[in-house]
Amino acid sequence: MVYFLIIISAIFVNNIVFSQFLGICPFLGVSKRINTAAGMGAAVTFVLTLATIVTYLLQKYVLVRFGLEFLQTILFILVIAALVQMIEIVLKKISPSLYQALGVFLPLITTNCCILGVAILVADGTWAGKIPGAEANLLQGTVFAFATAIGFALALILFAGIREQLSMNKVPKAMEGTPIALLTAGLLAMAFMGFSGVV
Amino acid sequence: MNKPMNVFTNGLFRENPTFGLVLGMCPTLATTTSAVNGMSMGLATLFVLVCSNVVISLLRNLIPDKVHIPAYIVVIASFVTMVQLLMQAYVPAIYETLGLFIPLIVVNCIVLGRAEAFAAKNNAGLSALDGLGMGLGFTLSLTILGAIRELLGTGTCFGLPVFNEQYGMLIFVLAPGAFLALAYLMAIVNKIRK
Amino acid sequence: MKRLESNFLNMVLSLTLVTIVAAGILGGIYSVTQEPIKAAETQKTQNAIIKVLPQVEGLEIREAYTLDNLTIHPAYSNNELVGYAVETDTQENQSKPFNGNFKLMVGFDNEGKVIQYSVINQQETPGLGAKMVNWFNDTERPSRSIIGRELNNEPLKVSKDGGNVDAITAATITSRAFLEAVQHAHDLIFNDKEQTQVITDIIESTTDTAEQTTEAEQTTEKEAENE
Repeated sequence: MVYFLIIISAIFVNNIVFSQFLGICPFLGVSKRINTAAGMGAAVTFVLTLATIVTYLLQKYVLVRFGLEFLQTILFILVIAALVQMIEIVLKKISPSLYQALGVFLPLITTNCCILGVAILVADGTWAGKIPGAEANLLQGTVFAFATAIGFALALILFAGIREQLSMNKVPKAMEGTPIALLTAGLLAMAFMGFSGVV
Repeated sequence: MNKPMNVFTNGLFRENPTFGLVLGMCPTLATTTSAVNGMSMGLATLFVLVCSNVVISLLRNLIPDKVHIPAYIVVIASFVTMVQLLMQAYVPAIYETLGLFIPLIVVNCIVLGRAEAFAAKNNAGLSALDGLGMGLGFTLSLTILGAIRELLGTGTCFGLPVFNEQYGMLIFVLAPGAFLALAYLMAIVNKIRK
Repeated sequence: MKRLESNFLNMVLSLTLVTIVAAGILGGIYSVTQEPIKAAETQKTQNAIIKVLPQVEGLEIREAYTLDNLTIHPAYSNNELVGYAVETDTQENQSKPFNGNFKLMVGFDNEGKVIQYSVINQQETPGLGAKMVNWFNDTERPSRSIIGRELNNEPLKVSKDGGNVDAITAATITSRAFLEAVQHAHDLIFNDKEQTQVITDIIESTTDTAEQTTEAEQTTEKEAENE
């Protein structure tokens, strides 16, 4: 039951883009067309879930054990950067077609604040406070990370759909580009606010 | 004498991180719930920008090209951790308000971006100025956005009451308001720049 | 100066060096900031305790004890019990808060009246639930304020639930959680006779130990003088 709550909370109620403000840069940059949005969403889901598992274990068995919590930022970002490199290499070897589809997004993901952000949230266990009955352990944390990434993909795809339509309409000169995108995002965020209180 | 001034004002106006380069959007939207919060975030980023620009510029010829990204990341992450510890010790209230976004300075595109684009190719003095300019430009835009959101949302500015709270539009302090306020602010800035 | 060549040795050396120096400097800053960080934490709790207790002369806060997971700081003035500062939260609540557990410091006098409260941390919505910080102690609006209320006779409940506290506008969920946390802290100390006896016993034994220690010190001083 708690897994259901975690998933609903991460995808809708506390959507990472519309209420946590993580992942905005790729959100604004990669969401002009639906297939690029889907590609980025898939890549983020893949990397985020893996990264969360690795960083959680590192936090528990290295940082906390040796009292080195203050090195969290450095360690995590290096691990994420290394992980992304490794994923690129492995993907190239194992599935060239998948690499073709996702490969171009992978370098962009390293500096994606949502990866580091969610990794820190799960490693510190702070995500569990908002969901009744959730415990900050590895399994639930991984489910949370996976669901968060799905929420990111959802936000991206929804947004891309709207932007594709928007590109066919006339927009005032000063609002062209980022301003109109932000305005749309704001309206979407308002829509997602409707989910608040569900979990 | 012209070049340093140019480098400095570049970050403030022409290539302002928020309105010109459209970088660092996450903290811009998340931490601008009030003018003070926005300003603190900007200043923390400023510190990291200047320090990492200087150090990376000093080390630019000692770091082989193939490993420059990880090396830059270590330098930047170190300064971010420094900011984390110092803020936690000396300004704990602000530290708690900014929360997750302080460690996220390390993935702020502005910092790595300037390191690559400027500090890797220029001397320490100019790099420091570039960091200062960019940092101040960022702080300026964050403070302005924070002030607008705070004013419209709660009727105060920098904590000082301006008008009665019940006339405030709460949405501006919440998530959607961040997007809306920034959208219109950017549109106005674009109009002025034309 | 030309950039160092990207051969294996250079790469490993430069990366290792940068990392070691970085870790070293950070370790240094860490040890310097540890004390201020801890001090800031204790200061926060201390400030909250002082804020919620009666402003009397010679206020002495004796050693805290835990009852049922809540930390209670008894307060004395001239060796007389004047009140309690209780750290309560919403963990055991029936009415859960809106956005995650929040912590309060509530001050009661020794008859169970609320003196003051201080929100230690909360994550409710700004402008809505977050208003709890100064909604329930707004003494100019007695229908909202819980200050001075005697919780023995009238338990705290929002008007919607048949009680007599005005909830925060559009934030009933937060209000319910808040009032329940305060009521829980009160009931723990004042309602259960057995619990009160436990507490009085603990307090008295601490006073006895304190008196014994003072006596022992005085005796040792006298002996030292005699020698």
